[in-house]
Amino acid sequence: MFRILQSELYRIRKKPLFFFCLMLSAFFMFAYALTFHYDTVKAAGLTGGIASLNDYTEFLFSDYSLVIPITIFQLAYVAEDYQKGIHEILFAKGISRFDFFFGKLTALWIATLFYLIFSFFMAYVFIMAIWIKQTNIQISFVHICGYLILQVLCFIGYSSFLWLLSCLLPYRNIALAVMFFLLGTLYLYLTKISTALNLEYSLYKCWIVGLSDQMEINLSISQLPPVLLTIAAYIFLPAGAAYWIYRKTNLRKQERR
Amino acid sequence: MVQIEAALELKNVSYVFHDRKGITDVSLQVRRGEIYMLYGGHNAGKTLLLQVLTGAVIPQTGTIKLFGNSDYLQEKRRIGYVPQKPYSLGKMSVSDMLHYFALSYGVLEKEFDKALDLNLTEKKAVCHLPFFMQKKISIGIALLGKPDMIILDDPFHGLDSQECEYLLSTLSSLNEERNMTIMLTGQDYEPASRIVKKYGILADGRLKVELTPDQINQECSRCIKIRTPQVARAITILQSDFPQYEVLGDDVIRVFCPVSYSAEINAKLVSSGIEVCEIGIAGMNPQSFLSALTEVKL
Repeated sequence: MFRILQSELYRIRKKPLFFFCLMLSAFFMFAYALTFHYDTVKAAGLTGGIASLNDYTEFLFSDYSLVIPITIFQLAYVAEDYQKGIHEILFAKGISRFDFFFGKLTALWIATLFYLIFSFFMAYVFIMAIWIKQTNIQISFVHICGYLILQVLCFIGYSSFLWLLSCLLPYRNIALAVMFFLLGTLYLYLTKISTALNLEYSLYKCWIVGLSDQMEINLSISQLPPVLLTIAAYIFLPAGAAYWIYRKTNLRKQERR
Repeated sequence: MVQIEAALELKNVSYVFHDRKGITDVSLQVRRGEIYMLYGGHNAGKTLLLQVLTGAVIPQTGTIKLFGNSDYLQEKRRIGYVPQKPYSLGKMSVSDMLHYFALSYGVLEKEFDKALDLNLTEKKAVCHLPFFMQKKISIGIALLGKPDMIILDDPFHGLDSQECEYLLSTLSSLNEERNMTIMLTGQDYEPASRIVKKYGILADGRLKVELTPDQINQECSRCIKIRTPQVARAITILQSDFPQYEVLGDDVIRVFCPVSYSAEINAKLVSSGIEVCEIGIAGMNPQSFLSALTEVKL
């Protein structure tokens, strides 16, 4: 498994798409920083707006901008193996399905972690550059770090879910279409529909990947047990289900489809 | 008697799809140092059989032994697999791909086999290289870790005569100098016949017969040619006992069977009231012979 992890990390490093996704994410972070600055500090400047890094951190997860690049990368990356028949070549050399599956999944988790660290770094660099002359910045390191760690775990869970989707639909375009449809539905459900129906669904608090604005930075520590439980389920259930499917899959190329 | 260890042994291996296509009860043995060809037409089950060997498809029944070990997963490191279509990973260059597979296989050597004469400094993405170059890279990757056996799926497909020549000499030298067992599939007798030492004829998912080049030559010079004006009736009478036949013209049938059956065939036809103008032994082209063997009669 370690060998596969090593080789997959090498492959990710050599993928231009990964760097494209990092650049896209950096652009989104720049847009976030500008938007937040103009919406909070500048617009409220006359009435004494507060530059709060805590609020900015929460704002980073207010929509899907962080989700989209990693979704594109991951689905394209996993589908390539099916498309090119890489499984067969590796299995022929005695690499087991277990090693391949978990080696690659771990590599994807690490790639997601790297992607998020890069995105957070860029987000804070941009906002600090904009606020360079700001004298009073509200900041709570404990809350920000706790919240970011939870979001990182959420994204790792999201990677597991994407992996499950790739096992079910090993075609890049179909998987992408389905995933964006799911994201759209979820977005509408969590925002517009729930507001319209006035739903008070407690799972919102521990919902996924910053898709719910109910997971507030100040509450994240007090809500830790249910949030962690949900995230653990979110990471391990899709991974387990994906492995079960992968073990049963005949990895012939698309010859008979 | 010294028994030569089998590199690969399949017993009653089956994998049948819902539409009843697939492979059924395939049993064969490839000895060490042998060059074995699985010969068969489209949908004969060649690629599926190789995918069973590589582990991409798990057989429904049967056993596979590799180098005498029934736990064939343990011995798979000794195999190199070259799929029919050369593969590439994104925009990776030759050396990047080599590095990726070397890491995956856990092998230390970071160079392609010298026999392949590949340029590692080539910066172009593998997917943009000529077809034969990509094929050579696939073979080079299969040779990482110095395997004892190499499996090639239709290696001559899409190659011109010069490229076939190069591939033949490479495979031949791997076999002779390193005693490497080679298993290949295909439906072109001509290029492969120069190195192959045994043929397994696959048709409709079943291994019909195994033949050596000598046996093929013998069989090709030995078929029974019958001249009769009642071809259709003659076929009806003969086809239950001699299912491998070919109609050459309005009045000639060629039956593929040992020549000793000629008297029996003659008697059978005559006793059924069929006029046999001429019956004799005739030869044929090995490619046509093998094609006739793999032909599926509907």
